[in-house]
Amino acid sequence: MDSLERFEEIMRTYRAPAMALALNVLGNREDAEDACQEAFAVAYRRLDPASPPPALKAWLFTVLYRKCLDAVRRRRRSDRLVRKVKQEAPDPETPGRREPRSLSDKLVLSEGVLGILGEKERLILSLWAKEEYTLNEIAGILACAPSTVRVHLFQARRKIKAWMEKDHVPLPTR
Amino acid sequence: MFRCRLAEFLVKVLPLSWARDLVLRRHMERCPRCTERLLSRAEARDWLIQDDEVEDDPRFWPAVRDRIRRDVAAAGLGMPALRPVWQRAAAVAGFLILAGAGFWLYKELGHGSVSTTSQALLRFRVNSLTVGGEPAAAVVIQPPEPDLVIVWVDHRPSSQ
Repeated sequence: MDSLERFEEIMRTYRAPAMALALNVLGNREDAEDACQEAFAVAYRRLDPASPPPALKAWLFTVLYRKCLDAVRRRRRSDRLVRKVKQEAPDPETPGRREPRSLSDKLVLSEGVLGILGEKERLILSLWAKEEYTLNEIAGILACAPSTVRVHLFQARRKIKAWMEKDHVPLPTR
Repeated sequence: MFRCRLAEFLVKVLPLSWARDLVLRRHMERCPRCTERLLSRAEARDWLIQDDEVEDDPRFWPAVRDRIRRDVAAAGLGMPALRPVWQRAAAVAGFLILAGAGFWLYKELGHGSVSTTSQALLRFRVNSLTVGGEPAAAVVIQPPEPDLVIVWVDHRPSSQ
């Protein structure tokens, strides 16, 4: 099996978590796809598929986060608005709308919630809540001190909770 | 209640992250009242997109594979490039080799490139020369031997 085939196996294993993380950080599909494509291209150049690093997923997330930041800078430079997914999206302003049933629902609702957080806070929240990484592991991905991660995580959790209490929005049910 | 407000105030105003971290660990994450005001892991998970919710575009991942194959073909390599640590090591080694070669060349050739006359002038200057009280002309000759300088004096007595 050559190195490209080995790498394609790695891609198959990690493409869903990578895309989910990119969507949670960037909030729109187009930027998330760009970031994922760049991240895997870079990963192929730097990785030896025959002997991958021990914490391969964390290493991939590090690369992906850098590409997400690049995507954010590109977006800010071109002043693009966040685009909705191409599926039919529900009206986000409908007061009775509480339960996201599809990805598009979640993206639309997430715009309001996650829109109050910065990219770093969104990444930390994703890694802490979804991937269940410890603060030290998250600090390794972000190349910062665990104390910094704790502070950002605290602020993210407080902001969302305060937003929910202010708007009296109950949690979406699965 | 006072402690909660004090802790909240300190987290906002303390400039150093380690100090804020200390307040968070000592109070905010232990006090039941304060932790109630924080989003829990389970609550956060409900807002975040999960792996099984990612709807794959059937064209996207094949496009990523094609992009990688194109990069490989363009680079002409079937293997991934050197890891960054080895790239840096190669760059440092290359720089040291070039610097060493440049220094050696300068030592070997730096003074030899000067013409014989110029070199003699650099090493010797005969401001005035007299023989028997009469002025004489001097020619400085620098043979290849580095430590030898010949000064040829041309004197014609005025009586001749």
